[in-house]
Amino acid sequence: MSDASAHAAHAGEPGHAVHAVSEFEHAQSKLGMWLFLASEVMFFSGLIGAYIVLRMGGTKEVFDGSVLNWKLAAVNTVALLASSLTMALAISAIRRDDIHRAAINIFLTISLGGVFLIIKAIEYSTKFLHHITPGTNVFYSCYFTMTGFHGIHVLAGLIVLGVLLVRILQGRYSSKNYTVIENTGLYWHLVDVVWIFLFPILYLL
Amino acid sequence: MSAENHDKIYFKVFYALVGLTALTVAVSHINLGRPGNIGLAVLIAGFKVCVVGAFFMHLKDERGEMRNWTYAFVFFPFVLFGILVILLIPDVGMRVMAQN
Repeated sequence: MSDASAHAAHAGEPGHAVHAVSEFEHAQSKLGMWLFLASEVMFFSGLIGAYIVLRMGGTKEVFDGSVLNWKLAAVNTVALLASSLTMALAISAIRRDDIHRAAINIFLTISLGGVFLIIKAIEYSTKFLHHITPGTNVFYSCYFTMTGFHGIHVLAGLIVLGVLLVRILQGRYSSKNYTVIENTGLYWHLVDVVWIFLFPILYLL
Repeated sequence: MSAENHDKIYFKVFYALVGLTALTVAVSHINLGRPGNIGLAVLIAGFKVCVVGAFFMHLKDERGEMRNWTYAFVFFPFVLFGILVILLIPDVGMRVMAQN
């Protein structure tokens, strides 16, 4: 906090005791995050685009989502949607300088993301037990590639959220300095957005 | 608008998204023909994504000089995705279809 006050004093901004991040810096940083998210959308576009054309050229027997467990995936969808809710609530709390509530909501976000990965692991291990691997057929190649890369994104998000939780508890963020939390939230919602598409196109169709 | 009201909206958005997920599952069990089922599932997913973007990602409340840039960054990858798929379908997709 002393750094932040020193910065504020240096910037000479009256009326703001702690003003570590200016509105302009906040907006610029967020814009950079949006550019990164655009590249992430393109990354998944490549995978989804490949899936669409392979499916168009494939047979109905191979591209059959009913071999997957849609019930587990539906639970996962709700877990990820709920984690998006708690993420949004965490940002709303930090904007009100409610550190306690922000920490609780980040913790819930991490827990729900953890639930997602555990269910994903159950799904994968069931497939492997039945000797179904990415090499089984082109549908499973698509399935493992897309859900695998999505899972890695969830894992990366969980690591960042874990670091954020520690830093929130250390009191490093406030309503005047929460850009990192907001940007992590944007990333986390994007992971949710990708899953919103993957769920129907893989499991239900 | 107070922060508490924001939180209430977040909860409503969450319930709507869960409802739409249930709807996605429900309509997938109704046989509308392959194009019908795919079209409807993608339509609902697209709507859900718009809801997440507008409320959770605050695109609805985006303000300031960066707003239009942000919107451009959101819009652009979806245009590229459209171009990618439209160009891949006649090439790879239809080539395999022709072989079959």
